[in-house]
Amino acid sequence: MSIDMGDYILRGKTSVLPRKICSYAAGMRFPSDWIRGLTPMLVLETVAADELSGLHILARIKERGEGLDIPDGTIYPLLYRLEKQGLLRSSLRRRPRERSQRVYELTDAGRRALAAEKRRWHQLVNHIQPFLAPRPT
Amino acid sequence: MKRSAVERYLQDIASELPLRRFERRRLLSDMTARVRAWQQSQPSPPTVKHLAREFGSPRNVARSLAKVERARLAAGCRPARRDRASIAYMLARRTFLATIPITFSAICLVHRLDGLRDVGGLLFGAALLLCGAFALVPPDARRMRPGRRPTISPRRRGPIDEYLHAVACRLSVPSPDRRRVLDELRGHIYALQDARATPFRSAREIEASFGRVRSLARAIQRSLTVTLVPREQRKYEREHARWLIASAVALFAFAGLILELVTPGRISLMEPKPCVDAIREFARLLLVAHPFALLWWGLIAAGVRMLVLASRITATCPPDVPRSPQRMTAKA
Repeated sequence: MSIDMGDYILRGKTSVLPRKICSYAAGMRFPSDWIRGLTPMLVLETVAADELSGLHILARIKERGEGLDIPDGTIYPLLYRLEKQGLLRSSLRRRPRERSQRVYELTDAGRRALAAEKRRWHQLVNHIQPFLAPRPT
Repeated sequence: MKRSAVERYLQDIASELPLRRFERRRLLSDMTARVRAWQQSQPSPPTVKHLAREFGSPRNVARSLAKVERARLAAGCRPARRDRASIAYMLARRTFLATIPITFSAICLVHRLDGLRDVGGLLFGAALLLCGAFALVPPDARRMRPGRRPTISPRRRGPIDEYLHAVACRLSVPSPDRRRVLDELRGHIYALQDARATPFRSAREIEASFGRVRSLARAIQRSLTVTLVPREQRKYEREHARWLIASAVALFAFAGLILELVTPGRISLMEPKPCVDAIREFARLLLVAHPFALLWWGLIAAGVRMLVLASRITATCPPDVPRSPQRMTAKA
């Protein structure tokens, strides 16, 4: 049995999977929509600690997220958008005998936005958890 | 004389192409070559319908040709070699046209200064000079300047350059932004390549790991360009622009009155003073040595600022369209 629900396909008895999926290192798969929605928060959180380039932001996310797979090309549009929104600030870092690198750091507005996003995320998790808790038999 | 189907088809494309004559000629000559080559392989002479089925309808062909050409130019690519002579000719023609008002204004200015007649002559000369300068710099000269270098030279093409060139061709953003994006992407892709055992062999291989050119360029373009504000949230309407223009005109008129007060008789409102005195007073006004100078400059600056704001509002606001009765009813 297969019921089309927009992006989602309800197949068989157990799995509700979107057509587009994003792989996770531990062998689990997550909907790319989830990851796409959460990436700004992940980027802001990663940059909060240190000034990093796009490449290093991705590497740090993969490292901290235990291999969470974000496609390389998606990070730059997001960085430009966050910078345009005033949440990130970029600067060129000169390196001896190497190409200069553009690094990103969090602005004050970015810090506030990150704190708000985290708070909202925890609230969402608190709201969702009771739904997903095992029902008493 | 009846024209062949190929000629009619190409004529239809030409009439739909929103480009300049020499660009149109070049694109059409390429298209003609393609059509003629295809025609050779056909057993019988094709009809317009056959051609449209093979190459697309004239409107679609024209739109895609124009789109590619615009994207190429927007990406900072050099105009085609064949176009450069035409551009040079266009600039030379404009320069020649500009020299007429400039020369006339120069004569006018020198004559007026020499005779020390009035400020009106000076203003007339300056206006002519502005006209000449306007004729000299066509609005699209910057875009078509032959000396502009492409961001990535197509001459040195590895797979990474090829990929970045494809991205650059699809980006329509200001040059500094484009340079910055391409530098960043280049660094990232080289780092990816260093992390691999073997270098990238083709642009397609990069696409597989970095993302499709089209979607990447579209996402970058979207994130770099200004977000459009919906009409409901717009702060200004065209009505404001009209008020601004009216206010600017009033300010300029007031500045004119001050000018007349300072240099009497120049626009024949007051008893004229000797011209030497008037020029001296005018110079004092310009150099902020006159008691009214600050007020005068303030009025001019405010007027110009209002005109700039009005032009921005006019450029960003959609034109006033009277609402149809049905729509109003529907809304009610």
